[in-house]
Amino acid sequence: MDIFDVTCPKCKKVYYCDLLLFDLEVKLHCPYCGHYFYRKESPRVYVGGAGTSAVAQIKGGLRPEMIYEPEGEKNG
Amino acid sequence: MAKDLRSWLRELQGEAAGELIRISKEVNPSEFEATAILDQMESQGRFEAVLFEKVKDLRGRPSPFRILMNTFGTLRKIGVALDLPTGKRIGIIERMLERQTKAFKPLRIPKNQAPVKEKVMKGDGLDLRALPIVRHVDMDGGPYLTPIIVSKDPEGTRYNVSWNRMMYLDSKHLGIYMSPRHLWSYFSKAESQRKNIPIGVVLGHHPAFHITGALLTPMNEDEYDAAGGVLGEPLRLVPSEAYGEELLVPADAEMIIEGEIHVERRVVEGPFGEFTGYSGSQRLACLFEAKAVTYRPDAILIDIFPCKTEHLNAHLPIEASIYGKVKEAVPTVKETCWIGSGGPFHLIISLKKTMEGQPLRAAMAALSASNFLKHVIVVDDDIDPANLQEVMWAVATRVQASENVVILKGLQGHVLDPSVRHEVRSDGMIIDATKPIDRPFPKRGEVPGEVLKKIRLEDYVEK
Repeated sequence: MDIFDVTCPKCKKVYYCDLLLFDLEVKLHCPYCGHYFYRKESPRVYVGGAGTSAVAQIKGGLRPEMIYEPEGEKNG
Repeated sequence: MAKDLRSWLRELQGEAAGELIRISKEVNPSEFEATAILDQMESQGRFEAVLFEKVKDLRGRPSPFRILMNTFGTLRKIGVALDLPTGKRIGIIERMLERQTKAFKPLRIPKNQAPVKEKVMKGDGLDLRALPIVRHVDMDGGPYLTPIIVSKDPEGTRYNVSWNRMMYLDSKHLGIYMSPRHLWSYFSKAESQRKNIPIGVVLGHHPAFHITGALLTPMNEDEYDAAGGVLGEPLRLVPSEAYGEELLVPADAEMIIEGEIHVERRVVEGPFGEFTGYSGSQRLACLFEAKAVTYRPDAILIDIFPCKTEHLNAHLPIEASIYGKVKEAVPTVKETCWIGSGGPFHLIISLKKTMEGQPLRAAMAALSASNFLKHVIVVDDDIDPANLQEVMWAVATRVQASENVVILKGLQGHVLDPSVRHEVRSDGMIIDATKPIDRPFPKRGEVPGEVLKKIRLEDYVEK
């Protein structure tokens, strides 16, 4: 089954869960430090499927400020 | 004397000396210390059973219990369990097949004669932290038990015996993962009745009983009967503490945790290092609540190192079933090799081809026999299926992909196969690496046999 990588908000280590857990409101359990947390609290979740191009492979993950919003969009 | 883990250990020491080592230095299994030892042994090609005599429990205190690992580290040890201590690989597979097609009705004995009833822990005194539980690999979600689960059909009398992983949660709870097989079907029935399902978690018995957990027994045959067949004698049973006659449990076990799987609760469970060699992902699993623990005072708990060789070896009954089905389809099949084929989802079949089409027929019989298989390679009987160098030579020299490779799309696969994207749907592949018999084919280059007999190596080359 497809999986997603999740970073523990406490110890920052990465592990993975079934994709089934992605949309469920359940606390995930870090196998490294034992911390329980909601997926939305994770500083980085990686589902994949974006390909292996240089555009998709961003060191440190995609940050909101990296996204360009066209002027028209910014002004609503 | 009924067969139990202790009788097997005595036999092992007598008939397969060197297959067991004892470690008397204290280890903390929940801190990876037991698997660190086994991992290093495996790297050195050592697969002795290891009896950890001094272990810490989950509270970090010295435990009165012991842990046995690598019970299934070699086929020889399984051979001892099947009363065939000197058998070769295919001989042990054939003995397994013979034993698993027999059945003995179990024997009921009173509680006061059951070794597993010597001590009982229940109520406020029940604390699973008193057990030594192994944490196997780095990403495991917690300490894990690798027990045999005994359960009864909620709508009948059939007993099921299965191998399931259980993650420690707290002093009375464990998470249990069930792949969609027999225990899962019992759970589904119980779920539709909205009634929790009682089970026994067996943590140490004769290895022939444990290996029953991997049997592909049909749903109309009782697995307590089948366990008797594999053991070679009736399995002794006794009523459970928590459920009495409603759940009979093996009397000669070292320890049994009794309790129930909640049908209306789920837990986040895993990751867990599985037989595939990978850590399987964190997922939803079911909740088990312990009600009682019965045990021998110095119980020996069997634990499997799931990411490693012994876990694959413990699947021997499946290989035996596949071998039986393949041989039934094509009687000229010589050997099969699943364990040792280089991967948990491969099978290699060697056969004496007497007709074109036989390799495909044999391969399809194998694929239909078990969802563990997705790749089947068929070779001629001049190739040893357990020798991967020879198998790959046959693939290299006897295969044209457009003619001899068959891809099957949408085959039911294995939920733990990390390469499948759907939960169970997989692809199958058959490689027919046999020589054609309907046209000339080159002969293997060989030194003439009569010269080999005449020219002896030791007469020319010093040792």
